[in-house]
Amino acid sequence: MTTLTSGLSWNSSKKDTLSLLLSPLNADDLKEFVHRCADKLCGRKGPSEEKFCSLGRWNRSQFLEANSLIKEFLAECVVNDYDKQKVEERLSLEDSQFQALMNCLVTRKDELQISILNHFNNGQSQVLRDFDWKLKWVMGSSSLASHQETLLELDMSTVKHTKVPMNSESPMARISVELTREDVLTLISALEKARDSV
Amino acid sequence: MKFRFCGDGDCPDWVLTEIPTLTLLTSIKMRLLCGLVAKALAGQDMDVERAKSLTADAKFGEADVQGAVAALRWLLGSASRHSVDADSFSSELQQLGLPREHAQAAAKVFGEHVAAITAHLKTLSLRVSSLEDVSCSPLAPHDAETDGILDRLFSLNLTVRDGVAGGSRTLDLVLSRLQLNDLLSELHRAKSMMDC
Repeated sequence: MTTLTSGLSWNSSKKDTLSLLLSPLNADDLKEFVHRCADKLCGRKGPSEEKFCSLGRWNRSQFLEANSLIKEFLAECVVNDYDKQKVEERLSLEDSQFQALMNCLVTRKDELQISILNHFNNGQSQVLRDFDWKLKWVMGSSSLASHQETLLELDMSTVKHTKVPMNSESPMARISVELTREDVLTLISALEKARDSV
Repeated sequence: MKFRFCGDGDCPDWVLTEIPTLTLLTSIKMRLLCGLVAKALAGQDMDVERAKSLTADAKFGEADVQGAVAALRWLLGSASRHSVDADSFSSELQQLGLPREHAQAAAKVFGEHVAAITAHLKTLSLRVSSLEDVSCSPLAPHDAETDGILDRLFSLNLTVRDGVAGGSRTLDLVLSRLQLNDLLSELHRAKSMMDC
């Protein structure tokens, strides 16, 4: 939580420190480093200290600093939905390094977003991970020979709040609900009301 | 013999044995009794006392009243279940041996109540789950620091009734603005397919 919120006040000293720390890494190494840091943010194993200390010519404290700064930076980018230009303003890197960073941000945006949602969610409720729907045509039932009604089955998969979100052991839950046409309209209007209220 | 109101099957014997009892009523009393039964089939409570007073003239005993009501309940319920039109219902009742006026009275009441009965039968049909209540609101910020981020998060509350196990449960979900927009556009797509 503290890491994420302090990320909001990303300032020029952090920018310089991070740019300087990352400069020894070539594009491929940077790509791996950023991906491992994103893993860490999503509750999996982080980058290997030994490997990146030698690649980046860092000592232990520099490694830890690079680690926490890049995590902070990723969180900020995802939360504020930065585009390429905004990322460029906040970090001065070589072109190939920049490409590697953007690549990670784009491909893992969804996963990172869910992890961050979990951080702010305080464990109260479940976080939507994915959803799917299908239509059912009900032909008849034991009480009505020709029922003939369309039902929408909405399936949602959710992740329960954990300290380490989004790893293979995260408790997942499936929520499934059958909606009639009227229910769909109710749901749409409830969602639209919430969307338009901010 | 096969009947359309029985779903192209036979009429049960116990119903056939009640037909002579029903003919003892006048056609007006028959119509009123059918009205009572039709209302019960549409989900209202059965007015047993009124059924007894309607059949008092014909000197029905307790068992006769119960038998007549059960038979009418079955006849009207089965006709609604198989969506028979009132005219064929009337002619099929006559084939069962009910006098013409009685059959027409029953068919008239059936025609008046079939929509309400069908609607009630629809609610009795098995549903895996159904939506009881839904609400969605932006997530309230925990503190001022996170204020800027939280306008992107929404809390969705769904009360879902489990049609198989019974009971209902309330689900709290957190979703981002992006997910909310995705969900909305997909629901609109699904709705337009349901309208076809």
